Amino acid sequence: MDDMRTASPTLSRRRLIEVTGAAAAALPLYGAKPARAEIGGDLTIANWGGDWNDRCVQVFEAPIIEKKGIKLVHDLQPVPERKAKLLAEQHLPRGTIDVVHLSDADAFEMNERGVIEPLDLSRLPNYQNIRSNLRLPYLVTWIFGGIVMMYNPNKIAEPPTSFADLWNPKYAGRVGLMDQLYFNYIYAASLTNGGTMGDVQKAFPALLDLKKAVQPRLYASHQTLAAGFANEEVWISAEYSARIIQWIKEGLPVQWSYPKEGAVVVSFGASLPKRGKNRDTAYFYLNEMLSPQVTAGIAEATSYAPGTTNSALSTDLRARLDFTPEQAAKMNFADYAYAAKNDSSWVDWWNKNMKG
Amino acid sequence: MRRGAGPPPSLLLSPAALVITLGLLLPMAMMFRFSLNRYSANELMTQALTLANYARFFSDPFYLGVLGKTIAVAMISTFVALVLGVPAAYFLARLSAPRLKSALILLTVIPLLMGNSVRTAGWMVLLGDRGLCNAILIFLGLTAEPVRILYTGKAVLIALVAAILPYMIISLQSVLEGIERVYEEAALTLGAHPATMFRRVLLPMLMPGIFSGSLLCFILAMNAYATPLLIGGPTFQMMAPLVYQQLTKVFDWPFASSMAFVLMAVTIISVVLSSVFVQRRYGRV
Amino acid sequence: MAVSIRALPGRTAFLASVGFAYLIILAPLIAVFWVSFFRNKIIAFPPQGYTLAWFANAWSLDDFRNGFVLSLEVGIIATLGSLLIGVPAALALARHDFRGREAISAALMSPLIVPGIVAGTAVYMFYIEIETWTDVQLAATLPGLCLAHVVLALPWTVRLVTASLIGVNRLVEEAAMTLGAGPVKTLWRVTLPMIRPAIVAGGLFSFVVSFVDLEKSLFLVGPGRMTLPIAIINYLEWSIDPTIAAVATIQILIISAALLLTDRFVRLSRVF
Repeated sequence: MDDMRTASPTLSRRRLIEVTGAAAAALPLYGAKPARAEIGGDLTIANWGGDWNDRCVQVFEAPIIEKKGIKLVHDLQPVPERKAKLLAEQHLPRGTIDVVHLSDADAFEMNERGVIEPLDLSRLPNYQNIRSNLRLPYLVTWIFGGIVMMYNPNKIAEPPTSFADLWNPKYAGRVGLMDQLYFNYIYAASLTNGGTMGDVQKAFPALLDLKKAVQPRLYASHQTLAAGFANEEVWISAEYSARIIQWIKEGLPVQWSYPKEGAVVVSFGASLPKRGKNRDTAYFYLNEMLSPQVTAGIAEATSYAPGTTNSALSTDLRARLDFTPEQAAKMNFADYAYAAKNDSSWVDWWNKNMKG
Repeated sequence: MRRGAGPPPSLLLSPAALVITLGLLLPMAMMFRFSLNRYSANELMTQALTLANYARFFSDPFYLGVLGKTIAVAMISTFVALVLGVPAAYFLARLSAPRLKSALILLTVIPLLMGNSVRTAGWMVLLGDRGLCNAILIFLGLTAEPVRILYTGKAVLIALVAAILPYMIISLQSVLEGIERVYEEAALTLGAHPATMFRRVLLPMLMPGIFSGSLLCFILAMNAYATPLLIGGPTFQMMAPLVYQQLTKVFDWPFASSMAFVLMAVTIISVVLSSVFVQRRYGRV
Repeated sequence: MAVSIRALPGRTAFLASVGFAYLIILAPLIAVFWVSFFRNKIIAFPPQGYTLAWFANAWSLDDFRNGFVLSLEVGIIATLGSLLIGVPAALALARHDFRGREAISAALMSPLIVPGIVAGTAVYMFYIEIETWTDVQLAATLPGLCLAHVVLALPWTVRLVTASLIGVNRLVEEAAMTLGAGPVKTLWRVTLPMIRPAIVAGGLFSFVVSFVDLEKSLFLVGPGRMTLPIAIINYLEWSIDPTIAAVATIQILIISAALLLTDRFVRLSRVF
């Protein structure tokens, strides 16, 4: 954050050690070609905590990574803190985190800020199995989902067919929105009013209409929205498909339906922070994330759809979790650059107009 | 006052001063420096010496509104906590049965162990549309439709009062313990009505406690983060959650820092003003 | 008893007010205890039956157990640190008059004025700066975390002890000195016992604010470590079942038991 300092001409003690260390390390390589990458040691993983981390450990990290004798240390916290830490630590010589789990939009942002590095695809043989429209050069995508319609079938007999159903005055006072998903509602409003993912100007007047027409109730988190559905405070919303499936599993009176505009896609995976250590093991970790068993297991555990084409998912599970080809064809992808550039003004607008 | 008796003040103060300087003052100075920088999408901050962030805050009626709401909420909840706290503290201080007293002290303090996320879960069950309060209200026939309490300002006030009341009670009670009963007894023996005794004998002696208790509660309420965020819902915006959003969502650290300093400046000014007022009326506290 | 409560006119109003105050304070706590037995998979009212399953779940999750232990450790260290440096500071502030007294008093109170989330991020970024310049790592270390917690707890000790010192009857100390006790002896055997309530209160509050702290700890714990409040919010991102109510219930019961034990040795009522 203070990059004037890195331009200092004086040779710091640390730099001296770096230089001589590198020189010393270079010598024995003469005549010895490293045959395989060194896999072992410690790896520090930054991830969400709670059930999510438990699933990652259970399905993937314990049976595959730790079985190989690799010791994993977890740094678990919500996304805002995870990103803030990466940003704050970018000028430190040591990296705390070796592998960081991120969503696609967050990975884009971190890449723009120069905090994560482009992946060396030659060390990721499984990378080519990632669905082509989910590939990013700095993210290993293992699952994805979409924002779809969520409704209480006991109160709403006909499944909603479009994001525009949120505007239906029939549901006045019964529309729930999740505050943190503000950008998805902007996209939804844009798509239903002649805009695109790359130009959302039409969304804002539409959202003001939404406020007037149905007085949506805002919830601070996914779980409080779920509580709102459990209490029948709200009957209709738009949420991540995986969350809805999870809630159905937990007995919440909800169903999901695919909007005709197409779902707004979100995907998740892992990236490499620039100063992470133990690169060989990190690449092993990333590569294994994409193996067929792992993507199947994590999809089943988290209720997201697998991000790879060769996932070993059973047909029943695939029917429940994955999107049909017709649905997949209509999916809407964020224009990351556009979103990153406008996000703070979106936050501002949302705070002042939808929450004021 | 015996001057010079015992260890010199500098010795007594230096460890605390050192810890505070290293652990807070220097970090805050650094943050103040940030508030003068400019936000940059790529490099996070560019070095600058600008008051633009502060100007942005003060020129925007939205932010001023949030600040105003925060101050109002803090004042109201402090006042309510004071009104409820004085009788409770007096009751606690004058309780003679030792077991009951210990129990009551523990009951006052133990709710503080809850932590905000857990406390919110409790309030959800109490204040939700389908919660216990509404169930009682409907059962008693006082209302036909559930009253919307959760995720409004009302809920924030209730939850804040509940959260700061223990601090008020303990602040007042520890001062009351030090006020000997002879004063009250003397006043009553001389024929004063208990209310008069309270107003003219006890209250002036209690002023240090009232002052410090109210100040503390006001500051706690001004800085409240989790309670307004989780119980007020997204539509009830207060300063601290807004600052955090700027820090960790938008990453506009300069603007977030400036907002933080505005919040703290208001708090400090209130502290200083009331301190001056009380000192003038009641002498040095 | 000085004023017989029975003799107070308007005593009903007085008792009702006291009762109402405690009702408000205890309502969320009772609700949390109650909810921890609900069978509902999502915290909601009314209960769909009762179960102990959430307690089993809470106990089985490593994050909660480890978080509790770390929060306890840091809480105790913060309390001790706060008392060790806070009581002398309070003595200096209350008893001596010197230039800059108001400023130092304000400085020691400053952690209260700074909102937790602001202090947390500021301290974290400051630690990073220190590491950039001196190679001394403070972020993600236990000492760094404890320092931040001592800072958090310090104003409580200073505040409560200073307020109590002001109310102390100086005549008793003067009497002791007249009878030949030196300043240190007077301090130890006369003054400190008179302010023992405030010291205990300061220690108690120091522990409480440290234990429940979230904002400072979030940035400072580092990989492989977690405090209980952090474990709770991590859990809440994915599940809003009564497990966290069970966690809170267990945690509160354990600490209350510890406080009750303290009451045996140091009668809280007499001390307070």
